[in-house]
Amino acid sequence: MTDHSRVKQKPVEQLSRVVATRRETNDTKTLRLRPEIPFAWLPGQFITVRAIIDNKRVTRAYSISSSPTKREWLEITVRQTATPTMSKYLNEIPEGSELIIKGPYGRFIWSEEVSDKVVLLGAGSGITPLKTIVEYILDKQLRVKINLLYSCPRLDNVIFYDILKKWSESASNFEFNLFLTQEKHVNSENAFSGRINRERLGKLISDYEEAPIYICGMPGFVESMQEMLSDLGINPRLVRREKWSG
Amino acid sequence: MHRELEEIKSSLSKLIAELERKALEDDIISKDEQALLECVQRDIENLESQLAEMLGSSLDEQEFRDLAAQVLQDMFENALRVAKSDGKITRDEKELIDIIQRFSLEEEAF
Ligand SMILES: Cc1cc2nc3c(=O)[nH]c(=O)nc-3n(C[C@H](O)[C@H](O)[C@H](O)COP(=O)(O)OP(=O)(O)OC[C@H]3O[C@@H](n4cnc5c(N)ncnc54)[C@H](O)[C@@H]3O)c2cc1C
Repeated sequence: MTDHSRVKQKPVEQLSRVVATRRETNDTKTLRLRPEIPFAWLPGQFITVRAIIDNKRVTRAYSISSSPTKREWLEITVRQTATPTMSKYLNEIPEGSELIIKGPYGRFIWSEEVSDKVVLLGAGSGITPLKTIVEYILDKQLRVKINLLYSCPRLDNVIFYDILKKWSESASNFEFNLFLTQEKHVNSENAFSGRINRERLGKLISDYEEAPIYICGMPGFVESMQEMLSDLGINPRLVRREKWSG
Repeated sequence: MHRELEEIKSSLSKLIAELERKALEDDIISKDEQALLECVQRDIENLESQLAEMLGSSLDEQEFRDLAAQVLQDMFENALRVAKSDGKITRDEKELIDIIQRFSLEEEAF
């Protein structure tokens, strides 16, 4: 794979203003941030957000959910967890507020030199860096075939459903496979009831030999995907992963 | 990056032990010291899971250090806030704060 260190930016700490917010699902919100000093990032990277909450200083990481092709602002998409601190604060933050951010960070990066095919496996809020990768490829009209397999409990938990669906209908190089683990009946093409299992995975990625595979989600999801890929004989060197417990 | 969670846990346990030892030097843990120790203990539990999460994400050595420094700085500032909450920092509190600050600024904390 390509060495990205050449193009990586040094993380900068700075103030950024919340210029817009958008509800994605009942527990997830996207914040559009305008940093004082615009900076470059690579698809898949994250920033940290710092705030004083209940008189305590808290720092958390959030993947950038917008493409670096739109440089004047960046977005993060935050799912409120069951026992939230920062994720509640960010889900309730009013437009116009300021946040201290620092970034970009991370090597869970996709770059166009890597290959002409890519497989993205995500669950829950783990969609955020993957959506950025898709958006970047489509925005730049790169000739890269993308296969996104995204797993959520129910349809109303699917983050970015409308935009992902729209892209999959308008871009011939983007395949979107949705897995709804708690829906009994799913009546749409490329949507499945139940989990991503080895058989389904093997079938869906059979055209993606030698493609890099990016996995993002809760630790349990990431580990089970890795296990299935290994059972399918996929070279571990092709696999990149990012996991968090949100 | 080859750092193990166990190394992090062990560094943090050592920090707690050092703080407790210092607090007990005069054989009495004052109310102020107790409040501070509880705050740091809570922060350390969270810190441990945050650092564990960072180990699971794709960071290089420099990035891990940078992120660890941010969360250690949070811990220090939160402890300072608790110490200042009654308007003054006692000598006992100052000694504990100094240990936390030293730890948070250590290049090789983990
Ligand atoms: C690289 C990276 C990118 C991320 N990107 C996103 C994103 O795009 N969108 C998003 O919604 N979230 C993302 N997260 C998760 C996010 O950083 C927070 O952990 C999440 O929002 C919850 O924070 P909180 O303060 O509300 O919850 P809190 O529970 O107060 O704090 C969460 C912290 O505690 C730890 N924690 C909580 N529960 C557990 C548990 N059961 N086991 C172990 N540790 C636990 C976590 O490690 C985390 O550091 C990302 C995390 C990382 C590391």
